[in-house]
Amino acid sequence: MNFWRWLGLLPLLLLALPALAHGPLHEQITNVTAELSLRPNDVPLLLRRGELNRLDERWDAALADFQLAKQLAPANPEPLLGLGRLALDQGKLTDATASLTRFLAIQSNHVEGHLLLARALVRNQRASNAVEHFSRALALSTEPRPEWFIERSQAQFSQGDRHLAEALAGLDEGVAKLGPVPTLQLAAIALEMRRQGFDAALQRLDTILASSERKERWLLRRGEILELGGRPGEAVTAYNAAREAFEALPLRLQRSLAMLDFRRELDAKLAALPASPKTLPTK
Amino acid sequence: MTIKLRLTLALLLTSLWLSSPLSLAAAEKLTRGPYLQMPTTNSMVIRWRTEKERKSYVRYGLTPATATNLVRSPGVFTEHVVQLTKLKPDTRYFYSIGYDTNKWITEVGPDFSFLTPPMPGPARPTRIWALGDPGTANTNQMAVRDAFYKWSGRNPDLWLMLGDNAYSDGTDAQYGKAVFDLYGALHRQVALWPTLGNHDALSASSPTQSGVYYDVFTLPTLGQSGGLPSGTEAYYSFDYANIHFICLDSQDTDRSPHGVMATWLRADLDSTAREWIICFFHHPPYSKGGHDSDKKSDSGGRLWEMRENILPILEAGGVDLVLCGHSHDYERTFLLNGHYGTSTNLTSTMILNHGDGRSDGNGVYEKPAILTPNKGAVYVVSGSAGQTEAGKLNHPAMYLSLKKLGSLVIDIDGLTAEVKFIGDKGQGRDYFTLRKK
Ligand SMILES: [Fe+2]
Repeated sequence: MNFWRWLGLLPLLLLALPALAHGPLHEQITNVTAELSLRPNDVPLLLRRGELNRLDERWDAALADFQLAKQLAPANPEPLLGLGRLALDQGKLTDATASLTRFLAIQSNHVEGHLLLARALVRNQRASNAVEHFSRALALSTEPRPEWFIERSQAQFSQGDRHLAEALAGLDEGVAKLGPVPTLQLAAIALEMRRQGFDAALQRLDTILASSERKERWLLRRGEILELGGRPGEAVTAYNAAREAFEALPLRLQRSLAMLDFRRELDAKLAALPASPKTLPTK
Repeated sequence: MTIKLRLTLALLLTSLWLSSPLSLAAAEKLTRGPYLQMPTTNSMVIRWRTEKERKSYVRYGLTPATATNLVRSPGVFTEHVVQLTKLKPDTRYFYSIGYDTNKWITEVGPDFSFLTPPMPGPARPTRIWALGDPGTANTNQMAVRDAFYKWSGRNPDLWLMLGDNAYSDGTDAQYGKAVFDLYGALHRQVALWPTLGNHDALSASSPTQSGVYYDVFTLPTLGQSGGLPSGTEAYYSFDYANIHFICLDSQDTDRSPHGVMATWLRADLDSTAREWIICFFHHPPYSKGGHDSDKKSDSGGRLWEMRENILPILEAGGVDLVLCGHSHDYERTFLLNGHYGTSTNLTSTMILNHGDGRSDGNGVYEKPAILTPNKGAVYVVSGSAGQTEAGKLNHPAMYLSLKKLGSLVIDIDGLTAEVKFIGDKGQGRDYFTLRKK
């Protein structure tokens, strides 16, 4: 290739440079804008730039991109999803709800669509409607996240104590689907304690104990639940088990500041209960 | 059927002597892998991709000659996921992949072998290789890779990718080039542990746990490799010898101090008994490189939130090293504790050791061997495994800031960690020691 033909390629090469740099969002926006200058009505490109603008918190630019995409392709639901995400980010909950509802009317099996709408509804004090959409997302997803089950249980519980059983059942659905995940069980324990379901709370705690290499803190928690349940004798047993677990730790772990606090806490709990050693033996 | 479901359905046919000769089906087009994932002390996941839909077979054994234990996953796929189970810890296995009992795609030999992790707890010399923002698939990335290979002279025991693993959008084709092809030989022998970067997130969604990143990796959700179950591949932990690794999602997961990830992190830190804690995620809490951690608006507040919300939990849990990328440079702090504000709020008391951390300089960084909260951590931005970019590089928490290509090597031997930043021509551009006593 001769020099002049190389030179002819220069503008193209210059155009490609930002792409090679792969820099932050604004560079990607510049790249897409360059492509859009050649194809201004390209809907996928507009959607992409809208999304990049949203991520870069350029709200007005994002809105303009999504609105133009919607205008160019009225039957395409994707601009509605973009508009929904954007409005949710901006806290425009009514707009978000409207766009996402319209999106889901066309794409009723869209997991993220249901999740986003559920979140908009929660923030808009419409917990009951939100629960429906969380449930729909959970039913549609093959790989749901623990967060969704917890968000749904919070939406259920926010409607009052009469929804506690429902909220717990929802968390159990998460355990059944994902396995004994401590974050799910911790959320469930908090709800069990609220309805004084001490035995159920203990059973849940046992699943965390089983998956945790270090047991001392969970055993202490076990004692606390038993105390709250009016079973001081069993609480002493649990605290003693916590002490044994603590003493089985390597010295480097026993002597940490966090563990010194733990010992003090355990001492205080045992001292407050009848028929128990007053303090931990000092090593 | 999802990959995870297929994995659980993997059928184990142990010690089955093969009746047919072990011929190589060379004509079969392998389009990705094989690559290893999710090693545990007694299992390993082997994945690969074929051009045509095929059955998934692996044969393996303690020597190439005895690689006759056969495992298959039911069904026919282009994306193959087979888990070998009932392995022994700290043991080398040789394997071959294929699509029938006499149709093998790869040879059995040292190139296709792996070492299972040792039992967690006891110390053993461990080499960790960390690559931040590698995925340019260009000569920079290759130079950084080759410099490490040459410098190291051996495989690392573990390798981590700190996000932005495949530019520019983390598509499957980009992952093919920048992640699977470029490190092909290493993938066959050592499992990669990744975290999600903003560019990976352009083709993957943590909120829905879907897309390329989640499809191509098999990561522990139930503490399979040690650590507390997280229930998600977005953030997870695992053990290797005396080290506990924590991978967080700084990109697409709630970073609030009482969010689910933070709750899990607290419980996970409470549950580990390992001597070292290394945490890695993409967005650096301290940086004045391509990104500025003082700007709340930078990257949607991710750097800021990780620093303000997550660092206090990590430091209270006794974290030793925090590895990040995102800024395409190298920035390494002093031994630091309790710095959760902007760089203008850094005080002298937050720097627990004002030296270089070097044994031949003004002394290594020391921490108590007793796992104690808030005794200091070193924060490293190592985001130049594929490109560099301009920045002020003047964060006052940094001992050293460089606009240089390179990757990070951590050698842990008992209670000593030697950390080195190796340049694209094998230059030792930084080094420091963290010692517990
Ligand atoms: Fe990044």
